[in-house]
Amino acid sequence: MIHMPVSGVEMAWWPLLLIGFTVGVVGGFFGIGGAWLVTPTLNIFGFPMIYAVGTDMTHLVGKSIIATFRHWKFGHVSVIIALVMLIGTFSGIEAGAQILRYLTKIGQAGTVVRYLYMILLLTIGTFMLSEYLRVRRQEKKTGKEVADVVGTAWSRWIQDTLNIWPTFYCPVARMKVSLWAILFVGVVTGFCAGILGVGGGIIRVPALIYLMGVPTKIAVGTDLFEVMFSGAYGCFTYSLKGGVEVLGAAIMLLGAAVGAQFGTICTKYVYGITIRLVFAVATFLCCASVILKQIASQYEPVYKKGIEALLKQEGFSAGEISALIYKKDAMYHYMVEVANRPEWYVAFMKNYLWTMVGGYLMLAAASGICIYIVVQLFAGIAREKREKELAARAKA
Amino acid sequence: MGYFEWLAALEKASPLSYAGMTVLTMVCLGGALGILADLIFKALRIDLGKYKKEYEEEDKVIKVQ
Repeated sequence: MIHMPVSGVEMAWWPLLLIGFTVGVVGGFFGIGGAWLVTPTLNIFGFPMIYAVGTDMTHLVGKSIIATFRHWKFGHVSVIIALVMLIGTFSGIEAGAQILRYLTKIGQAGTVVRYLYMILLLTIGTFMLSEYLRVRRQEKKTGKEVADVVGTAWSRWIQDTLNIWPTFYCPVARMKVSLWAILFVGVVTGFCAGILGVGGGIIRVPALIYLMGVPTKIAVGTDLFEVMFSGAYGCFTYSLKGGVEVLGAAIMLLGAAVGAQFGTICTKYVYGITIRLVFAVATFLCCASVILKQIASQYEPVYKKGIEALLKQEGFSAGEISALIYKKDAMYHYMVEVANRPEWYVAFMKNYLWTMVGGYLMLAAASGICIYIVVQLFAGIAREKREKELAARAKA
Repeated sequence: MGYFEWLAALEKASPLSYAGMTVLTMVCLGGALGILADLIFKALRIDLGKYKKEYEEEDKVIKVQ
């Protein structure tokens, strides 16, 4: 057990290391932060929830530096696209955040945001999956292997419509593009991320592929470059609000440092179209996580404010309350024995069960995707070794 | 551990310094781990430099014009 100095909570260190590793593999492979995987999983292991998002965002800064460095060495990072897009992303996030504040003010934020997020994720996942299946059908018909699809009718339209000075050639992505087209895509994705209150990797990667028309691997590397900056911004603001458990983030980063190498190196051995398939599966899982969160949140209004006030009265800190609120025995004691409110406990148990279902589903999803990526990596390394040996033999 | 205890104390005393130090800690740790991994790959003679990507082979890619 390890003492978390900011929240004052005691917890085991190995789940943090393991979660860091798993999300490191997934993040390095897809170019996403993976908060939707980390937050419910941390919950299972008793990590105080008010620190979960901030701590994930904090470890993301270090992880994205490691993954971006490796992708950059592979030649997957278009620095110019990332930098210009970053300007658009930040302005879009700010505009989206203003709307989110308004929705929060009228008490509609939670539900509206979750439904919007579900629709967006389902659309992205369905589109990517149908494209993958179309490519596979085409392969069967023509007998010719397809490794990636570059450009779409949308990306063509954006680039033709916004073909305004200054335009430049991007050698990494092998495309000529206008600064305004990149800014436009940055603002659109930033706006979505801002209104949904998420990091945005799961939106930005498909946007880079379908709206900008960049190859899949460049989209992954370029997004990770952006994540370095957006993660640092998120880390700073969450730290300022006291929502970061820095020791937890450091332990997660140690695991992620190894995982990110696995995930990133694997992109060398798989085709872009395969990355899109796994990405589509990930978006469906992310959507499932949001649906379960929506179901669980329906029971919160019955007990949350009341129990929080009671625990505050009992002298618990915000961090301790956040950790206690997921412990059945403690909740039974305070809700039934102390407050004599059995209806609170019934609603709490419903919320607890749905939250646990979500947590275990995300844990299984993260582990499954992680195992798939690691298997692909080792298969790729073995294939490369075989090919090198055959080439050496042929030369001899 | 002493460093993290100090950071936790800083969080209460000066949130702005704590926020700055948190970002700096992660940047330094991430940078150091990235460089360390690179040195390990070099020591193991594993080449992880640029390689020929699938989109560089015209016949393997569908280009939508």
